[in-house]
Amino acid sequence: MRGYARGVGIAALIFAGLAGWEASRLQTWSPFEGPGPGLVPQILAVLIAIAAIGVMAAPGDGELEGGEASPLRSRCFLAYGAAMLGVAIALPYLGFIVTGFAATLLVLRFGENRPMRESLLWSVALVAGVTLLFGTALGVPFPEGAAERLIASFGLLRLG
Amino acid sequence: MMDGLLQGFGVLMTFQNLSLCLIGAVLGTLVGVLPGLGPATTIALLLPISLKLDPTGAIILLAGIYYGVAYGGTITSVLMRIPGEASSVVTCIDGYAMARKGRAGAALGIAAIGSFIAGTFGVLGVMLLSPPLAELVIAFGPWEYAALMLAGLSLIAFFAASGVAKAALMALVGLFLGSVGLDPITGTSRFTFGIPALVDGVNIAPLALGLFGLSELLFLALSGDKKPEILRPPSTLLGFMPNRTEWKRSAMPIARGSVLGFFVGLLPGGGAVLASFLSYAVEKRLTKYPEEFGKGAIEGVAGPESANNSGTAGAFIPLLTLGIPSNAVTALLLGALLVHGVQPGPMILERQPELYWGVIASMYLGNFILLVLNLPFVGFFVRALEVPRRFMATAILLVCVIGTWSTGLNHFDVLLAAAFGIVGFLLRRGGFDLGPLVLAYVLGPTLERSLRQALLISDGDLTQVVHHPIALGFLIVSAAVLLSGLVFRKRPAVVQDGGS
Repeated sequence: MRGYARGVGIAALIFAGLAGWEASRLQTWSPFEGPGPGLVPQILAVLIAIAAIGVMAAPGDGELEGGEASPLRSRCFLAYGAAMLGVAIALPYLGFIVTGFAATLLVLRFGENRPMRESLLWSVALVAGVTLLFGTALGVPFPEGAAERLIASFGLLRLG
Repeated sequence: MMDGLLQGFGVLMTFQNLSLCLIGAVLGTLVGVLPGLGPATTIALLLPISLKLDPTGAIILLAGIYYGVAYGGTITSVLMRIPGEASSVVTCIDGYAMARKGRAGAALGIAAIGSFIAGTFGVLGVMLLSPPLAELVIAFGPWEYAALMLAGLSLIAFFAASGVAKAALMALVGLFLGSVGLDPITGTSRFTFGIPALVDGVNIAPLALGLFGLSELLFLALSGDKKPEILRPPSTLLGFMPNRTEWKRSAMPIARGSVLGFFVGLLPGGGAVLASFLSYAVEKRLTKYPEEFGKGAIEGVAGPESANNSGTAGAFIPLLTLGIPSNAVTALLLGALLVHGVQPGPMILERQPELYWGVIASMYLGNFILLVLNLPFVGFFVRALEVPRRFMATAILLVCVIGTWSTGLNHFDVLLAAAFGIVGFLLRRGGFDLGPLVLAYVLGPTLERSLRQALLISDGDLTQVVHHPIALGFLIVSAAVLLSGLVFRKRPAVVQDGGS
């Protein structure tokens, strides 16, 4: 835990440096308007750096949450992580229904090692349920994709 | 006041609001039962849905979840020795021991009844204390507001289980995130890097859904799909009734827990978790049967369970009258109100009495619903634990994605949510509380505005604060709290509210 927390402290220190550098371009004080838009961010960048040093000095004890083993060795964790990132990246191109279905199928089949039939059934049920609840019942406009356009043509979905 | 309450019940007695109160209470209980899924995660998941409702309906639904969680967490604590929620951790000790002795029904029964009494006491306290507090706060200027928020953030850092340095770092990062977007005073663009979606700042939906929802998903992926051992609850209502001796021994712990929990709930960083721990410590000290503590003492269930419910109610006072959340969950409630264009604070009673009194009325009804739900449907709630992890986790993923998209209708927010999910996972793994980050993010814009107004009035002279005794008092409290937190690092740790 100590080494890990120190790593977070170093990351925070880098974040503070970058934030402070970007904030230094903003005006801190204006003779007409008083405190400028850069004042608070610059103070915060300095305070973040101090707190980061504090964390590195006193990182705390205890075990890592989720266990000491590296999550990258867990196939299930990798499948969920890939699905999460995959959906976020593919959403503008494929829409929600196709990406959501593919992500669920990937997670169940390869991450959870479930049979193909069960994976397919749950993927279809889940995507249909979320689409009906959010899209049809609550009227949330969906990100555009081929499947969304088809369903929208029946008046069951609005496109965003 | 009675007129206000009647108005509140008038607002509540619509089909929509009654349904939302019931849905919130049931969902809250379910969430409380499921280990891992805390109230913050659930409120984050439901935030996009609540945006489809009017502000009163939204806060009735989300508040229902918040106080429902405190009830639901008890069930798994007593029957499985697994706290469904952080505020029920302490109930595991004596609640589970009672269940092993065949008194599971009495433990669940006294917890439900104590929770009802304490919850009702807490709502009464909110009703009685909020108006005079709001009157007092109306006189606050920018110095006082800025200092009050700093004091609140300091207290949150002090109470955080992760220690002052880690909590302070999280709070500062949260404040920084709150400064992204157009500067509210000059209109200058800050940290937007030419991305149009960032002009309005980092939205609360990707932040909350990423930090709480998606990071939880990653932790679920890491945990095994184990079948928990569950002790069976009684099958009849009579089985939940404590015997005469148990009633007698529980009366004072319930009374003490109600009062203590309510006042602890008022503190920033306080809330249900701290209330339950303190109540347990008090009961252990005052009991006539110290040898039974840890082995099934009913006081160890009655006191903390009452305290966590009145603490939940108490946390609504700073939220509604000061506009200052006291933990991650109330920060998300504040975020939901702000998205609806409602600014909680001392003027809420005058400007939006229907919202204020509607929420109070819903809390009365919610407490009653929870009492009715808790005992007969324990078996049903326990069954929720049998839902395989894979179904829950994939549902969280898709709800997070569409929820994030629906609030801003842009792809960047979804990417941001995924990034916050990874950051949240890494931070939680290292023992960092995410509560202070979200809280500071929500408070950030108001804190900055107050501070800059104060500096503008005083022409940049910080020493002018000495002419504002209330503000000075708050600053002294902040400094004292932070210093004592750094000096006395070995104090007993308290888990931060919010399921984080």
